[in-house]
Amino acid sequence: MPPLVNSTSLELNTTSFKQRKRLDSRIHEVNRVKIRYPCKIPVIVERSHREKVLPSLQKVKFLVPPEITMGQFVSMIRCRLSLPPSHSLCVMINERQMACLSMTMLEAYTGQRDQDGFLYVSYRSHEVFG
Amino acid sequence: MFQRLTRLFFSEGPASDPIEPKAFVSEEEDDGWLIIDIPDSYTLTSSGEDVAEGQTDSIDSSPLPHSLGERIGWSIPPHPPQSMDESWFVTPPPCFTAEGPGHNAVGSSPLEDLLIEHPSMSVYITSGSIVVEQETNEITRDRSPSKSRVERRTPHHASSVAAKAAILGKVGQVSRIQRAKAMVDKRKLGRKNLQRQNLAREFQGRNAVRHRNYMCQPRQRQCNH
Repeated sequence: MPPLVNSTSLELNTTSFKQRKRLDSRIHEVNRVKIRYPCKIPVIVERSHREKVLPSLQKVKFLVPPEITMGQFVSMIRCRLSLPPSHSLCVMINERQMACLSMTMLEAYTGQRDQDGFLYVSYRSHEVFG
Repeated sequence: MFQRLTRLFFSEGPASDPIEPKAFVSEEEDDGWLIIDIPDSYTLTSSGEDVAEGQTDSIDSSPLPHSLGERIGWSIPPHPPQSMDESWFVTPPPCFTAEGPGHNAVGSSPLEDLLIEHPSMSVYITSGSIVVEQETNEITRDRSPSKSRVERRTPHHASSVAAKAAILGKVGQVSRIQRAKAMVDKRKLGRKNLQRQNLAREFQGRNAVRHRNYMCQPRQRQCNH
């Protein structure tokens, strides 16, 4: 079991969650977690594939309450990454759309969730002065 | 009970971890899920079932507010109540909106109005002769120049309305004089007039001594050869 964990953590740096799991297994996971936690939103938070500086998260699967805003979620990600306040973070939904920070997670989920039921969020460092 | 309450309110400050936010409680599920929760919504969700065996260091502050909130029936806000104790800011600060006494003292002095209107201060007059002319005009008109001058300098002592009216009339007159003078000057400086003047001087010079130390404009050349 431990070598398997090691291999998945190695894979985690290179490939995304979507590439690691097939569609039916993802759908199955979403359904299972929705039965268990009906008031939570399943979110996948990953490092953007273009990001080179920021570390990747150890856990990518998040269950968030639907009423918190995207800004709260971003600040939570910042705390997880233990970023210094001088480093800026940019959060994209589905790797292409910048997340509106005043949107609640439920709004983001209903608008932009994937076909498997996850909400895919990726983070990258934001070039503020560039 | 009260101990718990005081501990809730007073132990949150020092217990704040810089890494883990107070507003969020995160737990780890066995199959890789990370459950984010705010203490407020803790009672709403179905958290009755045991979530994780390996509840690590992040969880240790959460049972206290959670249980307290359940017991009293309060909903504990996600932000600590200390954040509301700050003072309020009034957005336009009073130094901008206050109607101070200095506001009236700035532009209301009649002497200053006079200074602005006075033609000798005007930017449009360049020559000083006009002012002299105006002074003489004044003298001939009301025969008491000292009195009028006193009125002009300190009009707020006397009946300032009449003084102002008189000054305004004078100013209008002065402007008329200025205009006339400018017209005369323009006529003098016209091209034809200059030519004529030069020709006249030339004739005089031919008759008298031939010295030309005056400036003349270039004339049309007369080709006689």
